[in-house]
Amino acid sequence: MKEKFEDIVDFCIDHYPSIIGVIAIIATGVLAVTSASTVAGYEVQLPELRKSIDDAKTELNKESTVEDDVEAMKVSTINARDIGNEVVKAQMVVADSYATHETPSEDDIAKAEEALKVIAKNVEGEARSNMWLRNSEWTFELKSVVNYTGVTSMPVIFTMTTTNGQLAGLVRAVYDSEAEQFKDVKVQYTAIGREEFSDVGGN
Amino acid sequence: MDKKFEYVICGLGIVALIVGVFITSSRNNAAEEKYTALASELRSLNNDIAITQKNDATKKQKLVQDATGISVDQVKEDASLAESFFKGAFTWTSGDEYNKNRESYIEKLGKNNTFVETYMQDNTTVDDYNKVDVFNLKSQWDTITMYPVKKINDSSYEYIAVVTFYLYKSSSDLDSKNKLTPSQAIISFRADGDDDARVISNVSAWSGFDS
Repeated sequence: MKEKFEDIVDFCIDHYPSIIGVIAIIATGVLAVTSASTVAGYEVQLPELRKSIDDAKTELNKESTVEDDVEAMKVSTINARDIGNEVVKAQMVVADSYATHETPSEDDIAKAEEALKVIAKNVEGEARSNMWLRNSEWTFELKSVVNYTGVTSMPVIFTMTTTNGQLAGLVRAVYDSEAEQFKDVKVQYTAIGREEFSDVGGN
Repeated sequence: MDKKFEYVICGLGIVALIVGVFITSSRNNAAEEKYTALASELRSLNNDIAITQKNDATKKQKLVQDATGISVDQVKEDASLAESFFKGAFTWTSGDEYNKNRESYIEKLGKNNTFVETYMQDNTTVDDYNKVDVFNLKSQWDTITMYPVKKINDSSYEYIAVVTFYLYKSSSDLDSKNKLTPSQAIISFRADGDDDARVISNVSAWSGFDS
């Protein structure tokens, strides 16, 4: 064993120039392979990087839509207010028609039917068939359109107030400017409001 | 083997290694430089986009404020203020905690305020037994939805808010809130004052019943 080792050492000493040369050539090969792999690693990422740069340039060169958005918001707010006020009037007409103890005239019936159509057109879903205003004496108004949350969906709130100025109920909804309708309608009454319910039909 | 030939192999190997080191290092550097330049360009563009978006958001807020008279930032701040003001009334897990919160609201609003009368009623106590603990009642705040309904002046707004909260008996009930029935409180209040001195006042409240 010892002799074999000494033979190897002797061989290495005798042929060191060849051994150094071979090791250098192998190292060159390893270097070439490693470098090719490193370069390929970068090359693979370049197309994606160039695409991201193009996308970013497109994004940056896009014209600002701020003014248009605000204009759209103003238009949507006006529409929400107009439609909200139409619904308010329609609810009051229907509540009035139920409040009368006399037999309603044909004209009153026609007005109530027209009002129900207005409600059906402007309110989405089940809420259109329920009367929100449960007492014709109450004041019903569109109190606020929250118009800074978005252009297509604007939360709105209507309030119902008793003749004594007490809050009788709230109607919360979202105005959908694309459908031009109120959706997600939630109607709530206060205890005072519930005490003053009168028969307005629909529920 | 001829010694000369061995020196030739050695020389060739060393030359190949030196040339190899030079070429690979040049190629690596070139690829890295190209990558770094593009990555830096992308970073710079993304930075510009972020600045543009921030500027647009500021401009939009200003335009919205000009158009509506309402400061979006102010409403957001008031939502946080309202949450910290009202949360205690809807977050308690024992009679002691309820009583402590109630005292705090009485101090701030007065005993006859409709908020105290509606949501912080007296926790009836008989012989050391109080209603909240006897019935094992607990309350958990969920959300507040605020509607600015009137602008008094530039820093003073009136709001109507709806607070959603859950009454429950055991903390495990909160693991599946969808099985609990949410309760809703209707509140109106005013927020005014500047920055740290901003306060909530004119608080009124009603219990809300679904239609």
